[in-house]
Amino acid sequence: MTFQIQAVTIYGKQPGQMRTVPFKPGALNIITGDSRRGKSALLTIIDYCLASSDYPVKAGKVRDYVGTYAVTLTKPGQQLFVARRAPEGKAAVSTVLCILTQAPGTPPPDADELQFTTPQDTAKDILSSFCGIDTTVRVPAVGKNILIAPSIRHALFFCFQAQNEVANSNVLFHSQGEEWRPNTIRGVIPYFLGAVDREQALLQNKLRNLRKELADHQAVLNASAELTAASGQARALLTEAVEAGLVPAQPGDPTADEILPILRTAMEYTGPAESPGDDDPLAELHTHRNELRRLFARTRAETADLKQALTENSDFTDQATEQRARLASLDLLNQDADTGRDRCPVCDSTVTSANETITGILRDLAYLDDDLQAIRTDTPAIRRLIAEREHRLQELRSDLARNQEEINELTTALRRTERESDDLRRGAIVQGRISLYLDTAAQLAAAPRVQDRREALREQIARLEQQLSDSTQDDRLTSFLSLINQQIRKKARALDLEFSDSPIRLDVNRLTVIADTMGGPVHLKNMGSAENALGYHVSTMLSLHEWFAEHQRPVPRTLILDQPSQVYFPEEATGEEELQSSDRQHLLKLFETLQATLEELDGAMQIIVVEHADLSDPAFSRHVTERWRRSNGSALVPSSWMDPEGD
Amino acid sequence: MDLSREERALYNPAFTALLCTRAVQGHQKQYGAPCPLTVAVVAAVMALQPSIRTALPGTVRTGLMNWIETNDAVRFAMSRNATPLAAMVRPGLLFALQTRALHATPDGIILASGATPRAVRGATEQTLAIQNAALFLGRWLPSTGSLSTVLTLLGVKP
Repeated sequence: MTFQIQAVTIYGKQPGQMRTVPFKPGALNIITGDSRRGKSALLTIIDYCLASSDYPVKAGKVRDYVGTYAVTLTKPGQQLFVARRAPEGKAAVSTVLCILTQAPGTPPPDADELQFTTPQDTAKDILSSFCGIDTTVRVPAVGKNILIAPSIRHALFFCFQAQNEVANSNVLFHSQGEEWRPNTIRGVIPYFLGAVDREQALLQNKLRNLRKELADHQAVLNASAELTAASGQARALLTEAVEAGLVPAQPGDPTADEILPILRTAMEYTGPAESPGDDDPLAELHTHRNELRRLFARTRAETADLKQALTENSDFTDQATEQRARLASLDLLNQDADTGRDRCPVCDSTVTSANETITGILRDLAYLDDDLQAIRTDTPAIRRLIAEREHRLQELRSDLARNQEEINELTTALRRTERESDDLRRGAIVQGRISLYLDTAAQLAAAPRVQDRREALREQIARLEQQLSDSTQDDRLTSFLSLINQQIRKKARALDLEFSDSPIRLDVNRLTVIADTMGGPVHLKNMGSAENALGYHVSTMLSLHEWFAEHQRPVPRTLILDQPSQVYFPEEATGEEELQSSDRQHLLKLFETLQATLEELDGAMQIIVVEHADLSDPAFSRHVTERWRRSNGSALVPSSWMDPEGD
Repeated sequence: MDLSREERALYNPAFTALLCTRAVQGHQKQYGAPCPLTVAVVAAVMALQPSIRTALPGTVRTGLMNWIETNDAVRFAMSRNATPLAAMVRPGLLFALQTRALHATPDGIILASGATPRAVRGATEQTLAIQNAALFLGRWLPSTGSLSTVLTLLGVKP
């Protein structure tokens, strides 16, 4: 279950100033008014209170006179009050919020009761949970090798249509015009439509690790088989050559390309050998090996600990979820308004009041919710840590193998050269070995000395890929979209839009709407006329919201449209007299479509429209909740807050 | 009663009230008559026990007496757990009556019109299973006619 918006509250900068704009859940709310009366600020205030990372409220009266913004969110049996201060001083945003769980119907508290203690990140998590978003889910980002955790911020792509978006033919979703946003929107759409497989992100991580292992293994194979890689053997030969004084000591770790010329230099050396330093390369390798082993053991132990923690968390979550579900039975019972009776309805003796019982249950629910919240925040972090540790283990495993190879080669070499007392002869022997290495590398290729595990790894990778492709995410997404597309077309027809005779589809890759006409596909941006753009925006958003509501998807059941009538209106017009009668009909049709969708969803969704126009037709006028006119002196910010000279 | 937080949550009055309501709902569906108080309580008590839930037959046409006689586990579970569980269920029944989800009449209890949603809902499988069991028992328990015989067979005092 997810939330709708009950009210927006602003607190003035002077004590005692407070103004609440209420909204009806499950209904069409129209706020009409002249320009610059704070209509558009409503959307930005809601955006800001839902943990936005910037300060979207535009400069103007609202910024000048408002000190704190707040929204009241409601869902059956629960209410959440979220307040956030306007940024102070040079800060770009305020990073702490005030979040209060309230009994349904409670009005916003006074300004001095607000405690701003919840950090923005935590607030985002709390709001995401309140919205019903599963915080353990990760979805792969499009075009980047990272995982996105869907949050309330992502859900808002589908809830807002700002003034410059609602009839824009280039963007379909809220904030789509901003840099890097389109990829994020593409990434989260499958989750919000319900097509994502929970386990998929984990499998994908495993697949990435396996691919890395295969690449490592391939490098090891190359090293033993081909001349071009800096294999352990080549490095051991170099160490020997340094030892025998054929080449000077090499700083750092030479790469494959560097090592060959050095070895060739060693072949040209003829002069007397100088005694090398007394450092023992073998001992160094062994020390390094011990260090690697220790790291490996520690990382493995850490991984095991983390996995244990994960199991414990999920056991607890299962238990707590069961307890929560039973406590939540309260919602299912019909609660009479008059529950305060403390007489037994059967025998009329004194009993505990039902209200006390309800309070007790609600208190236990709140405890449990706190615990679950803590666990849910932990779990994704633990999963991420496990993935990191597994990656590190894989790296350590490759390092150990390389180290072993080096030790082997060096030991063999030392055993042989030990017997040679004469340094010159020793150098000659090493030269001979290097020569053999350079000359016979091709033969070595025929018989790789490292066990070839490529096949086994490839099989595992293929199996995982199969598993990932078997998971029917893409199929599901396609089939969901085709159902949604039918709704979009139905609404487009109701709005009498151009191209609505052709099949219409929502393209989630291009994030636009496309009509498949006989003459080829027509993109939204080529459909001409702002009226079409508006119509397809509204049809798409309504159809998506119908889908979200019918499938209990965690997207707030609110759609906010800023000035849909702009396409019919000349600039700065206020009344309906300027409106052509056909435009009038079209505009009314739009509001009838909004209302029809709401009626179909039977209270499961709310639409807030802020509007310049004020039509007298009942299809419009009976939904108007506020009129902010200069003539009646009302606006979002009450005129009493303003300095008379300043205005 | 002194209960731990877990017990308070698992057997909270709202949930046991819901179970009684389900039993009454089942009874009303099968017989169209007010449900005896005992049926509501016993159905809820039985539904709360996993060992009994798993033993329940698939249809109300199964003979109740025969079922009790062949399922020793049911009788054992009832004699062990019925008393403490009934103590949890009774506040629930009271709660349902107080909140007017149920109405008491001289012949038994009836559903308040438009009260609890008809469809069984719940967030976890277990809560669904328990509600369905209560619904089923409400229909099935009175099927033999003599409730006191059933209770005696179950090892519970009528």
